Amino acid sequence: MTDFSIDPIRKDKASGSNIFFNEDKLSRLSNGVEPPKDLLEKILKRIHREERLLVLRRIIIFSVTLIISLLGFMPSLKILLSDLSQSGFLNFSSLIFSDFSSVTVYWQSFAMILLETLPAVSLALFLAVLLVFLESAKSLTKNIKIITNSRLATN
Amino acid sequence: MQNMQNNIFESKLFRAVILSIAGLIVLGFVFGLGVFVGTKRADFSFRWADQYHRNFAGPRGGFFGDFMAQDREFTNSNGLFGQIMKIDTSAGSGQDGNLTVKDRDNTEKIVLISDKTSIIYQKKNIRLSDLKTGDNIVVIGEPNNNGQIQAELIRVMPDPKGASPNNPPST
Repeated sequence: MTDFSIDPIRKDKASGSNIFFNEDKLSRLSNGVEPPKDLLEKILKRIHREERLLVLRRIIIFSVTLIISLLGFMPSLKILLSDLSQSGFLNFSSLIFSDFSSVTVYWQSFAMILLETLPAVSLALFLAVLLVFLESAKSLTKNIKIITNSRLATN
Repeated sequence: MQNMQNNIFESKLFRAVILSIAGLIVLGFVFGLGVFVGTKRADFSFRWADQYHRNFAGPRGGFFGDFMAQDREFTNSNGLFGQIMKIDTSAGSGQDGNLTVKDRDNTEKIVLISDKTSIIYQKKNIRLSDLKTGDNIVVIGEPNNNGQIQAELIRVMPDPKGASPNNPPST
């Protein structure tokens, strides 16, 4: 007893429909045509090659962003440090270490002056450069690892 | 039904919606904080400029005005870091005296000192009379309606030239 609900070809045959899985048509089309024996190997090789190309492309892109972020790191840090000292933020924040008990008493005024003197734009710029640098480094190492592992596997 | 609910809560779309809401909350909070700080600075800057004539006996930037300084940023309201230009020890209206301090942004500000103000040099508490002109100080306090700062804490900083450790304010 055949279970028609499981086998799609037989189910189609049973329903009399001629749209999909027509066994006769399939056998007629494939009559005398044999796929090459190394077809699967060729397809897998091609997929592997495409994947490698994709990884290589990613390595190039992330190397460029890493270099750009590295070049931008020092100028953005200099701008941030200069703004921190010019605005007086460092002087005010140094009170945490020298007069901690007094700062806790007047914490509201202290918090306000820190917010007023915080160089938000240069801090955001520096953090953006740092984020790009860290993300590029992470993605670069990940892709280098993939390509190294695939080379080891092929050897 | 249970399975459908699990699918919704574990979907990428649901996570994106949650992250978007969290991001909007953070953005709203930061925006609100920025508006609050900006309003306070603008208010103090307005009062400071408005009361300049009264506080310093003359128009700001001389009698010809200070037209070039129109694009200047708002001045800090809750504190300053600068050099003492003048010390007035005459007590009055609940104050022990006041200091005229040149801020980092080259603006003069009046710092009011009361008996509640802590004046600290190194590890010691000192008095108003111990301060001298030219001392670098960090002031934390509350702004008042006259464009002045009511000091809560004054920290005398070491002289950048290194003269202060050998020449401390007399106690």
